[in-house]
Amino acid sequence: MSRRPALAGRAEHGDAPARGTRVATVLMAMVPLAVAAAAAATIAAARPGLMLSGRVALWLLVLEVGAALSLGMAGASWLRARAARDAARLTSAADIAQAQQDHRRFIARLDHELKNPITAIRVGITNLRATIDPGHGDPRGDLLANLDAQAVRLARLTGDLRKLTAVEIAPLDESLIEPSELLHDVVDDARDLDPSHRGSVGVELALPHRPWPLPSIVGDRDLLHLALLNLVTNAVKFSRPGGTVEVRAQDEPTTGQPRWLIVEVADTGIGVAPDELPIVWSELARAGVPSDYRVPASGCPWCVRSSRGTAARSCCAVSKARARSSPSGCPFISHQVPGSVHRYLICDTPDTCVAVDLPEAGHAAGTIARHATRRTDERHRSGRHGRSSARGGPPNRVPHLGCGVARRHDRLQREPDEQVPVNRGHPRELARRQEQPGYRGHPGHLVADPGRP
Amino acid sequence: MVLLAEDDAAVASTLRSLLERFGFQVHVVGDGEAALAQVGQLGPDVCVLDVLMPKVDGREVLRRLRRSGQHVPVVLLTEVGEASERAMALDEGADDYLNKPFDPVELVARIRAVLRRARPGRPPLSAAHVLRSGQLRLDRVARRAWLGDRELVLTPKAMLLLDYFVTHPDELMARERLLQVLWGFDNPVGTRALDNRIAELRRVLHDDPAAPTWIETVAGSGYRLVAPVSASEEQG
Repeated sequence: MSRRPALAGRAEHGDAPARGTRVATVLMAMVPLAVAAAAAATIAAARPGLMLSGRVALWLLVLEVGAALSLGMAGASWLRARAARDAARLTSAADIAQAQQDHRRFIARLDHELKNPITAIRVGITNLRATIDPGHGDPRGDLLANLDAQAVRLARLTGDLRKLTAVEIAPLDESLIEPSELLHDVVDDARDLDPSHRGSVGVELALPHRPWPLPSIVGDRDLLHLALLNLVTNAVKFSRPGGTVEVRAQDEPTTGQPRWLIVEVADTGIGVAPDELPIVWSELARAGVPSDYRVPASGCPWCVRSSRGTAARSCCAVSKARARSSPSGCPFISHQVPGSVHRYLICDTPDTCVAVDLPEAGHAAGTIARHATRRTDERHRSGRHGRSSARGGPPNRVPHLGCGVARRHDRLQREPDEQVPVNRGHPRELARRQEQPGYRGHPGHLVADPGRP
Repeated sequence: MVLLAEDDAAVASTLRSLLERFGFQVHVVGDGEAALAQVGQLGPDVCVLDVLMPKVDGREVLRRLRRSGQHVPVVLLTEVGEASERAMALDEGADDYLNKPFDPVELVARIRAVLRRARPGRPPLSAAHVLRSGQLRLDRVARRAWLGDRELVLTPKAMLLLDYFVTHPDELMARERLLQVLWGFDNPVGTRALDNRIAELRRVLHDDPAAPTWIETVAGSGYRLVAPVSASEEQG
């Protein structure tokens, strides 16, 4: 596969900023001369005979000239270095974009080549099973059932691979999200989706109640759900029976922008060895785990990889103006050390990625953090998006961009009843759960809340 | 009779055996051109079209059939995962679609459901530009919906879900099926993602789950659109 088009494109993209930088440098260098020329013309016109005489020590004059030259040269070097950095970043971004495109194309071809054989195998097995009388203990029944299970597994694998690429390029479906509702759903789903561990691994959700609940966020709810669900189910899957997975969330206590909502998924699993971290994000990669810890599923790498892609996309949904325009997307930077809390930070832009180790003890599966307290206020006010606007929630539920002080002020003015956090069980949320098919009442493990009706 | 257009010989032969075992008479063709010719000659009850075929692909076959006023029900066998492809399949008048590789029994169920919905001599609801269900009016081409005079504001996925409901009235929609409609995959995000969309639809439609006008919850199974749907004469 030729890379020339990408390289050519990269050169074009890289040259344009460099030319722009050169022009800017020349213009900036001409500014003092232009100012001096204007001043000289003014003086010559107004007072042509005006003279200034004086004396200066030669050593001082030489020093001043030298200093001026040094400053000029340093400035030019700095501008050249900055231009080089810009060009390198663009080159890297183009490489990443090209690699991502190549990867998607490969997965699409692989999917295309596999889907017909797998379809034929599945239909063929179904036809064969119909020829066997299940009541007579025909051993071929078990054999075909086993073959069918393997065909289903293969079908699911190709679907998952395709899903990875589709999710990364899927259009975003943004709405206003209540994080506490989202996390309740994720935890409930995690309990439902892992029947082999149901009851043996507890999943606890700890959300802040006081002094105020989590702020609303803007993003693609389904993608965020997928990302978080993958992390939580992975944590459950790799926890020993009797273990506990704890999902925590907090609004990052900073006043800077963008602010972050931090979600931590902590477990008592074995973690990932540092030398295996590079393969964590690879499709179909399996981290080395003790033999007694093997889990009969192929989902782990895919889930983590999916989390990365979808969560990053959701992050992009929040800061779409900048992040979505970046050819490299929103990369993750992650640290993981067994026995320490692992935090993934989903980056606002490639330039602002940071990774932070939490100083807490204990093991952890992962943490997703995302900033999300911004929103398009006009859209929200018009009521076109989001549930809060539809139900007319407290106006301070959604912090405004750059309004840390105002937000605190709003909260201090709240009536006590308005401070009820969503995770107490919002009446609408409860109604929604009760109308779900198969509703069996709210499962346990939730944060104790004496105020809950 | 089922007209099966599939260029992969292994898939075609196994599908023929499957469908015949379930009582269908099956005619197999290997490309889109042959499919178009056989529709005119054989008058099948339903067509199962693979999307990727030589000469004329399945989607173009569907377009030509609809343009020529032939409303034979069509089930498309599509690529997995492509949301745009799923939406286009419905927009262009497919009665249903399945992603390859699929559960063979599911294909049989779809064919039967399509045959149940078929309105002989009349275009299927999926071929209509505008559908009405009580006070609800859905412009499927413009992707806009109104409840009386009030235009509904829906997320794209909720709009896709509403479109699927009104083109499949009175049909029990398993939750897995609706998830596949929204996402194109089996059980990708947990069933609560679907519940959120259902809740969104009910909210904008002011539909009471306890006494539904439109969307009924079928306990333990899924959902069903209970209101009658008719195609409107207006073209968007």
